[in-house]
Amino acid sequence: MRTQRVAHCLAWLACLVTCTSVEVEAQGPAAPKRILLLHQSGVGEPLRARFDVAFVDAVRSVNSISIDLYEETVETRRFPGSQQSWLVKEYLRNKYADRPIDVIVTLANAPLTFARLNREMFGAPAVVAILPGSGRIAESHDYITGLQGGASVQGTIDLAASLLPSTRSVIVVDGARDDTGETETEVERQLKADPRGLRLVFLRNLPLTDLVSRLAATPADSIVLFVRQTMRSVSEDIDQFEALEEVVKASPVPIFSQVEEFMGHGVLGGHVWRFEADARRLADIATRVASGVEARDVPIGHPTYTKIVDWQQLERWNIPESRVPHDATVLFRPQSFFETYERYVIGGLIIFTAQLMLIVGLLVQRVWRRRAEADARRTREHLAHMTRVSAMGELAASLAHELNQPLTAIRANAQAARRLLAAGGPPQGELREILQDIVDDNKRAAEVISRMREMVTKRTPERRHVDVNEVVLAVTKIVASDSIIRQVSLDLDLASEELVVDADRVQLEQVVLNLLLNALDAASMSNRIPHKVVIVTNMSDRNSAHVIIRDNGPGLKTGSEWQVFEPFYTTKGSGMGMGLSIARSIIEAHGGNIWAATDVEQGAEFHVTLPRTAATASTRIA
Amino acid sequence: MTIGLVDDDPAVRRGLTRLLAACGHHIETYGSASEFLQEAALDSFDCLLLDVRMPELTGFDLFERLARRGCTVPIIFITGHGDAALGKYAVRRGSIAVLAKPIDEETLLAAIDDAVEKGGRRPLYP
Repeated sequence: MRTQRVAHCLAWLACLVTCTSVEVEAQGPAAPKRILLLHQSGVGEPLRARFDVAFVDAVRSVNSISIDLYEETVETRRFPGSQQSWLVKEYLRNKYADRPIDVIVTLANAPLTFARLNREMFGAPAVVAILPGSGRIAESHDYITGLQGGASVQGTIDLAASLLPSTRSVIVVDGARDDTGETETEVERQLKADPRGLRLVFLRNLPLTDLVSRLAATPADSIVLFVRQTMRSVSEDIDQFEALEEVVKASPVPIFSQVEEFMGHGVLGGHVWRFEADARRLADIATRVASGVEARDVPIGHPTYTKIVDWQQLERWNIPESRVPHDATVLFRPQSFFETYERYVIGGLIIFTAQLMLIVGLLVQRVWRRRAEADARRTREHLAHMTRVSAMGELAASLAHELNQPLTAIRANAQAARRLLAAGGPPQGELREILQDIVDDNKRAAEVISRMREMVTKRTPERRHVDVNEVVLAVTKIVASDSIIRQVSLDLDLASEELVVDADRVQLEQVVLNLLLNALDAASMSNRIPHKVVIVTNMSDRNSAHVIIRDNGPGLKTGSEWQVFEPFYTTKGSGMGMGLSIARSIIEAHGGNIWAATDVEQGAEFHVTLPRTAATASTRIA
Repeated sequence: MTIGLVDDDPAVRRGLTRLLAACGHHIETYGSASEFLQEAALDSFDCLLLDVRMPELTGFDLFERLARRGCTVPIIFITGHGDAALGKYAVRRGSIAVLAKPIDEETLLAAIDDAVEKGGRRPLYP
């Protein structure tokens, strides 16, 4: 069956057909037009089926005229002989006796010949055909038109020369029991003018075994042009695909073919006929002629050919793809991963890119946030330092007082000693006491200075274990003079146990100092005498240290308990209003809380809690 | 000469006591105004040295109370909180002088001499 199929396709390649002239019969415009498709091979032949499908599709798409399609098979190859030919002719004559045909379409030489010889019995219709490459059939018969230009051996040889530039000879495999020598003639005709001067070797009508052994001895600078091999032996046909398989196995050189169907069966490539495209073109010509256009007015076209190369064969013969001509189509190229999964790959890439952008965005945001946090921390530290300096500025008078006390004592002691020495020497004991007092007072002055320096020096905060009681005591010393100057009594009620927290000592001192100075301010403004400020420390619970600073001043304005911690909130004539805001930021940075109590009978009460360090908390439990 | 000293700072008290003792004076010291009011016999003093800034009653508070009692003992203020306006005010009110801490011995002794010279001859004016 395959043999027949391919033979059908190949038949028109042989181009030695003569034609006779037939008149075109005019048809009434209203009646449906009849087109007869005249085949050579029988039904069940895949190539014919594909041709028919393409042809019928094209005819159906024509809406201008209504068309009746008929199809017949002459089958001169399978049913040779004049008797058979006569029977077919008589059958068709009777069949179409009262049904004149408008156009006969033929695809191969045998049906074309049949149509030329017998068109009168169909009502002398026009013939639309695939015409042999040589000859002037259409020129001498004005009822014939179609596509002319036989199988382009030249095109195939051009392709072979591109792919294999060292080619010197072409081995043409052309084996058929009914061979008439058409192929050899045509190939020779086409390659006669070839400038490469290729040597042609014809392996014609050889039994398969002979063919295989001849092919095995093919020189390396040759190619094989597989035209056909329909015979197994002189008495037996063979499926062409089976024959091709043997040829492929035996041949030491690449094989070319002009049959599209052979592609993918070990053939490297070829200039092949696209019969489906031409089926549509023939349908187009046939409908035009059927609708009244004279066949002689339809220009003869060229059949559609394409250069095709099998990618897997390129690989097999190690031929670089760069040698493939631009007008050639490469078949069977394995799809790349991207081609196979294009949508998934693109989707994946989009998701990947989106995620990447998201990640980069988050990282950038993180960097920005860290930078912003660092900026905020620096600003906070800077502000904290500024408020410390400013607080120390407010305390300048009292600090001067604080320094003047030991200085006064020192000078008085020194002058006393000088007088005693001048008067003839004091008792040694007294002199020693004087000197001891001087040393002590000097230390006291130095302490004032060091506390002052601690508060005004700009430094990086560091967390240490700090006893809240010690912090309160240190701050109390700083403001002691101030409280005296302002006439405010300062009372301490400190917890008996250590209240150790993880904190920066100076920052914590700053908070207590700030609250204490506010309390002193408030108390000294009040009418309530005596002015009082009390500092209480205790454990609000096992895990927290609690500091309360209470004054008997005028108290907070109702509803301002939270406002007082806002930046720039101030009730004082001077000051930036940053003190409590910074105190809050310091305490919160230490994980603690700060708030102003409202339910106080007199004055104001500020609370600070800080988490106690785990070490001391657990020590206490133990 | 007996001098009374009221100052809340024990170190200052000790130092001034030594200095004035070395100059031949007798010193009675008190840590606060209330202590002085409770314990001191006013008439026994030729001169009083009062610290201005003290917890509870200040030197001025004490000054006012003494004035109200008709005290004529000359009074010298000492202050670590040098304030010219304060000094003028105090002097106008009848005190002898306001001395800034740390006090120079010459100044202190001159003020004491001055106080003793004027002492008892003019009342304090509240």
